[in-house]
Amino acid sequence: MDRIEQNTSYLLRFFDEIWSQGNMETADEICDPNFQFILAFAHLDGLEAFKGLVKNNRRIFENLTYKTTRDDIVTTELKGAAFWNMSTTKHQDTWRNVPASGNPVAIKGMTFFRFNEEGKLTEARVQNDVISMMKQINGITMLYNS
Amino acid sequence: MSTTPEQNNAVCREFFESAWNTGNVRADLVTADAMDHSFVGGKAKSEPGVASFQGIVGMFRHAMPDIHLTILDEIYAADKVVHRWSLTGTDTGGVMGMPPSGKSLTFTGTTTARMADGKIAERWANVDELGLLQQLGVVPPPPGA
Repeated sequence: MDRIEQNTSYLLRFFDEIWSQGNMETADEICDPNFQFILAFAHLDGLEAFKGLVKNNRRIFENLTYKTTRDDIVTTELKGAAFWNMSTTKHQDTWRNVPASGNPVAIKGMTFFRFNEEGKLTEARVQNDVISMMKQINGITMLYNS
Repeated sequence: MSTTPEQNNAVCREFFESAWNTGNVRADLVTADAMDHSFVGGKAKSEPGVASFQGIVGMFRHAMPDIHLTILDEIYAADKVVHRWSLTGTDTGGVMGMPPSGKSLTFTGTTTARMADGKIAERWANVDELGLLQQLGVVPPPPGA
């Protein structure tokens, strides 16, 4: 498997095995121990912090699922980008100070990745539709919509 | 006409930097039937070609006449180009229908373009609209921020 194909394969596994299945062995296999997970509103420093976030979000959001396809992924030797759809059947516990709404949620997003020379994931920068998420879980009184 | 990923990226850089930094939305760099899948700023429907993006750029340049695009990272392969970017400007005209705040605002996003014959044929964007609204004071900042 060449490097670009391996990178594409790792990004598919990142969403399917780590996020959708909660498989932390995959995280250990494809991510560097110093993996950085960066959102507009948070920065998780290190693989263990990232794994904690995944476990927490999978507890808060029932049947948390991320879907992406090869057609949604662009990879080069040391970088990758993936467009994805996230869904959950129920927001069932407090997320960012917003109590459980019981609502299903579906949002889209894009993540930029970096790989090291060994092919491990070192960084993910996430651009997700948090405003849509907040609307769907009743987290914002939408002056914006008035 | 076949173009290389590097040429595709150069077209995208020219198109987006020209549009955001000068207001010149280069219709010659977009296919006539281009699809715009972005629904930023409350836009409810998309028009083919350059019109949809022109509307978005016009709205933000009216609100922030000194708006400036910085491309922070880029990936290009085959017929796709992806940019991670930030936009910075002073809100003197009012963003998304709100009164002018006078604040200097910065927000980030990503854009993916599919290229055909050296032109932009499809565009997808993700924008940190929540962060923008938090800077405007429309919604409270996240806990601990």
